[in-house]
Amino acid sequence: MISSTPQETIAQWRQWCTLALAHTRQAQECNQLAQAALQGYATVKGQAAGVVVGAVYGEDDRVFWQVTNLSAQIDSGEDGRQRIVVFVQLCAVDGQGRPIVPGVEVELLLDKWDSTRYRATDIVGDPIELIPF
Amino acid sequence: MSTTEQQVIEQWATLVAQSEQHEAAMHALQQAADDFLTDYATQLANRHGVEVGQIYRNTTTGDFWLVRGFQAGVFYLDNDDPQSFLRVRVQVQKVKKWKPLRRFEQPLLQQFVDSETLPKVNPKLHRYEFTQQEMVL
Repeated sequence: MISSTPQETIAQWRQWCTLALAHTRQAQECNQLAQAALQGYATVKGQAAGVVVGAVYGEDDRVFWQVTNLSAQIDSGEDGRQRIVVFVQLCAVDGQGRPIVPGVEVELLLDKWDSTRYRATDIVGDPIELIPF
Repeated sequence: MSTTEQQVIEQWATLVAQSEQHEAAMHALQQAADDFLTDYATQLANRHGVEVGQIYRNTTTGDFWLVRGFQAGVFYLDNDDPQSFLRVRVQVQKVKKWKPLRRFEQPLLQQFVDSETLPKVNPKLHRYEFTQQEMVL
């Protein structure tokens, strides 16, 4: 026997859908907070290493590199321990700060960033020498 | 590993775990909502005398259809209209052979088609559907 009317059925269905939507939003909020925690860590670590978004470094007299973003992600090492890997994104710019090849960026590992010599290794292991501009 | 890094990792792991819990709850609620509508659709169809396993004859084409299940969904006439309807669909499968059983001598489908209310035969979609007419504001 049908124990509820269509109106009651739809109301109950809507109630569940509303609750499901609330959980979806809470999940999104948690993900955003988790990402923000990593982003904050990347910013702090970058600042400690003297790397901030907007800073420009000169590779030679024609190409400059501008820091466009700092990001971080969790990495599980072979020993099973988790660590945070911070990435520095750089964009090649000309003397006026305009991207030489728009959309193309270089990503570096911050922990391989030598703040004394501004020497870094990109993610495929090729060395990039950066000179303070 | 510095204390700060460890704290961030723990904070991140806690938030990710919470996110996964919310996603699990969301999926469970969606499944419960779907099951609830399906149960309602089944009861409603049964009340109209339509049950899984029955075979009906489309009196227009002469085809025979086996009832496989029921589906229900809430739909809106248009995005600006707050009125919603409960639509129950009867899932049918076309069958080639029909064993003439006494209970199908007077096909229920014919009764439906002859009635002023739905269900309507939708030959394009190869399924029969009827719509609960009550509106919910």
